[in-house]
Amino acid sequence: MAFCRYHLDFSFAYTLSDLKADMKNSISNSNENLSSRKYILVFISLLLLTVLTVALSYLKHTLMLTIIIAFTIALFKGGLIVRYFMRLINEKPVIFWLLFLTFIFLFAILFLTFFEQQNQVNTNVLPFT
Amino acid sequence: MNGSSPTETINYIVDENPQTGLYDSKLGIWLFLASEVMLFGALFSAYILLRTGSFSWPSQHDLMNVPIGTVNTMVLISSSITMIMSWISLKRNQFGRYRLYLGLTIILGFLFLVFKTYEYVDHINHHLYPSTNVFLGMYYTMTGLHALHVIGGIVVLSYMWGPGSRMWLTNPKRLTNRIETVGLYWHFVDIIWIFLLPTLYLI
Repeated sequence: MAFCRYHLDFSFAYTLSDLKADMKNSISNSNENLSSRKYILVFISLLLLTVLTVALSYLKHTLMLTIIIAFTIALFKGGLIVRYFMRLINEKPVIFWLLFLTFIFLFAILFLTFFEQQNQVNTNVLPFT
Repeated sequence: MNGSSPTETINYIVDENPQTGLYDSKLGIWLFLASEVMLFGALFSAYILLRTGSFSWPSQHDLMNVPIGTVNTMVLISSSITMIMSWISLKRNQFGRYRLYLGLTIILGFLFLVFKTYEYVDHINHHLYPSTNVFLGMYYTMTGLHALHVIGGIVVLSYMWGPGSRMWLTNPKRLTNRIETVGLYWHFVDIIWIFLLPTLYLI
């Protein structure tokens, strides 16, 4: 009788093949928008940005401006991949916390070594040859 | 002793773990990618350190084959779109398309390695060895490590295309999750190359 209550009705005709079909349907019934068009637009944007990065590098800029342009575009491209292909926007908070911690340590690696090296240059330690 | 078997602790490979909201394999691959960020981050840091500390630095733009580097970037970006399409195909229950897109991803991965090998051979023919200067040492180290990641990715993708794809008959959701986690790794390898291109070829 318990199996016949509202929302708990259980049919013995529910075969293994039905279970398998339900399992497959559950894969595609997520809330995510799986439009191929969106991903193809991102793909075309990435290709165009790559061409833009390379084209701009042939123009005669100062080194600092070249670095700023190249890495701004690279960051934007990386953001597109993380946002759309890796679908970070749909992820749970634990992933954001994980990445937050990772990038804190990454910036520590990047900048602490850089500042230490600048300090050594200022104190006349011979640079690399 | 609560009477549970050891395998009960790793049950969340298909469904989400209530503690994290993710299936465990996905959390695992993100943790792995975090460690990879630190690995490549250390190399990028070493590059900055060596470049800013050097008296002279070769013109990378002239030394490197920029057209091949650009084509290789496009190849990897193309492999990222085929990777995501293979996952979408599984979500749509289109197993044939999944194998088609995954096969294309593997071919594009190989194509990347072919171009990279051509570049290495060309450098060596011009007597540009890792020991020639600091830049080339960094170039071979960073691109070599990246190429190893591409090779590792191809090995896993090939397994998922071949024997691993049989899981579709027994546990389709688990196969879909596996392709999602492999895809996360493959997109990460793509992102690393997107930063290697300006660092080693353009500035």
